[in-house]
Amino acid sequence: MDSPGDYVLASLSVSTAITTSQAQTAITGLAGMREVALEAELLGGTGGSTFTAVVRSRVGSGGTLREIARFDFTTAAAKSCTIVKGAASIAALAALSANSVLQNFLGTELDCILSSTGTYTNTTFVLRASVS
Amino acid sequence: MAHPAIAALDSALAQAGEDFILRRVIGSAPNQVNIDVTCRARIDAMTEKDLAAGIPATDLNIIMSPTQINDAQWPGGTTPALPPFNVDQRIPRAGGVDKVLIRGQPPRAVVFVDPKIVGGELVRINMRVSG
Repeated sequence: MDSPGDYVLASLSVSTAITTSQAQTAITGLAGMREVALEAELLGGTGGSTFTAVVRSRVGSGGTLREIARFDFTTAAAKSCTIVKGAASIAALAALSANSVLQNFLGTELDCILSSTGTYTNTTFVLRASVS
Repeated sequence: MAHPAIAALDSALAQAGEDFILRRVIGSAPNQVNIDVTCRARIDAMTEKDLAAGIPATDLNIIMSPTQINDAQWPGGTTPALPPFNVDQRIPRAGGVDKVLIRGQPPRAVVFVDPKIVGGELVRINMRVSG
């Protein structure tokens, strides 16, 4: 692929509720991506209620962003990880349910959207991707 | 294709530079995460002129190329902001958010940044670090 390596899809301090899903800037130039390992981590996790991060991918900058992995957290520090692979089969595109993955669709860009409820204190979220 | 100024700087740094880690620190202790990128730079002690101006002798001047930052798309995905708050996230920030790790020493804080933007493209970053 063009640009294998480790990327950060999101890193931020979490405080007030993110009521409107907040898209982070995309990681681009990932043509030929065959596999991505994702690690989402919520540090702290006190005071809030729920925190959700959805990783999306699309083909080219004009394509539609499709959900490929979803991580859900509550009120405790936690770490989740998954691997998404591209393969020669048809992926059924749909919004993901909690803590789920859509295999077989990897485009040329990755981004993530965040949403939360409740007000977290001293909480940090990071979502890393290792692309190959 | 890289801007000629970047290509020239990369060539010079390949011969006369050294690697260091540029780090953005997100969050408050103990719930912090570090977003690191290894960059190539020329790192020098203060000049006599700098010292005469009152800059501590323990500070260091860094001349770095944006190439490694661009390749790593550092610091990664961020929440986009509307103008005039849509600052270029690639440019290191003074004031404690960004640090550098040089020659195995403890992190030093970025205290001054002078990015060079030519024709709308970030081609070089001069900065001073302290600590």
